[in-house]
Amino acid sequence: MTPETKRGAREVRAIKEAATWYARLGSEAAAAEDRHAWRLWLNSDAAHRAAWDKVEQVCRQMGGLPGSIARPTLAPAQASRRAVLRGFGLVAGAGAASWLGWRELPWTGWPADYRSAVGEQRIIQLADGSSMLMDTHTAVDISFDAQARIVDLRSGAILVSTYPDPVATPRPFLVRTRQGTATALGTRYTVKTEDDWTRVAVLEKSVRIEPAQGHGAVVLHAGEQARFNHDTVEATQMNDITTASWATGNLVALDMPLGELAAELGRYRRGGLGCDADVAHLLVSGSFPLDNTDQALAALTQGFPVKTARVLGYWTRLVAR
Amino acid sequence: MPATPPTAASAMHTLYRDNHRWLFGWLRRRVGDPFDAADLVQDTFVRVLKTHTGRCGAVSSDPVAELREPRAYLAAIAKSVMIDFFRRQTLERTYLEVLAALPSQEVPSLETQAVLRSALIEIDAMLDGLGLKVKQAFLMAQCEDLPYAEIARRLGVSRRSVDNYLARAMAHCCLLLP
Repeated sequence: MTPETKRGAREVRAIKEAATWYARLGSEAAAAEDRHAWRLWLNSDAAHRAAWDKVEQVCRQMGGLPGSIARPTLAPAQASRRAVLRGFGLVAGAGAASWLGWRELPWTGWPADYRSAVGEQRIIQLADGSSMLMDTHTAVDISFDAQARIVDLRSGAILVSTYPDPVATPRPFLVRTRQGTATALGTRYTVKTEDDWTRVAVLEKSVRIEPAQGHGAVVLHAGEQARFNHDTVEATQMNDITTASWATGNLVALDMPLGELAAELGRYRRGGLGCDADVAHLLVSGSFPLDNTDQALAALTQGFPVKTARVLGYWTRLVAR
Repeated sequence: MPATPPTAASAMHTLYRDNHRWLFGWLRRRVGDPFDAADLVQDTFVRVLKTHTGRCGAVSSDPVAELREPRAYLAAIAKSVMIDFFRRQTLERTYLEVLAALPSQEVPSLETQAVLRSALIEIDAMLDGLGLKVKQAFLMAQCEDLPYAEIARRLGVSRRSVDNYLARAMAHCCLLLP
């Protein structure tokens, strides 16, 4: 239910007008005429007064929050404050890699332009002002030319925040995987490789998905995600709290089979993480910090009938307790 | 909060008595930690209570007593309580990191930290659904008092976009108020 459904159209209109006044009066460019016009608006209708009261209530609620804490906590720039706070790599300017045509390239073992290590997340600022947050163990090639802005995702996952193209003829921004392309229509979205599939989740605006050998494209809108292989796009699903949680440095699971959770956590862990078949079906929910998988394992072994077993001192397995 | 009508109160009591153990098991299986599970049981029943006292008030009908599948209903509420809990946990982790990164003279007292934590949780819920830049613009204007020209520069957008973002964010927040 949207909040608007239980309000009258008149009230909603008054609130929208009040919000517009709020934006106008808060500007450093606001002049005496603006305040005068606002006062006329305010006094012309009781609904306007009621709406303005709400604006003031919101301002009071947010007042007193120090900006140095509120913004990085509530709206971390470029999605991962962890990457920034931990001093993970911040690379400026896309390397001008020679682009050989992706179909000819071998997909594994190729020296990609950008790589993140296991357990690392890094932000790459691209030449056009867009940015890309790389998840753990991810390899990406970047090629910007006169026709297009292309990111080749060879493995792992990325969160892309596109920026309107600064050049005179804006070029499309697209992420390619072995399975196809996801073209940004001005947006933030994640692309993740999963064996024979690619998963795209749209956080803002929309993205067009085109399987490499399929016919036709599917457009995903904000709040939607879908998986595709080289010729088919699966049915669209809705995003939830688990979507792109990696970009905040957490793995959020809702009824996730332990086997899947172990595989996911293992992506962030040197030496890997396995799970015995007889506990792999346990359904787990939780929020686990990705930069400290030991802590996640401790939570799992305390709360569930499992323990860790080390193999060769390195490889960790979850087994029945 | 208005007093719950007696019939509703006893229905609520029955609902709790018959199901709280079961719900604890349901949550415990999912979140693992027994203390978290116990907290989530309480939060779930508080939410049920609020929903029903809010909705029926003095009205004679009693939705709690009418529930045909109380466990399915409780599980649905518990799931949304759990989601809020994970969201809060994630936010708290970020908050602690932000605090740790502040220069020592800017770190608030422990008491203030606790007050800020609950304010941040409320505002996070309020801003949920807004785009990242919209949130950033709103917080820059509201909590940092930055001029719009500076907000536009930092976000790499036009002045007009800043106006739009702020109006959109404010309308969104106002529409959530009762």
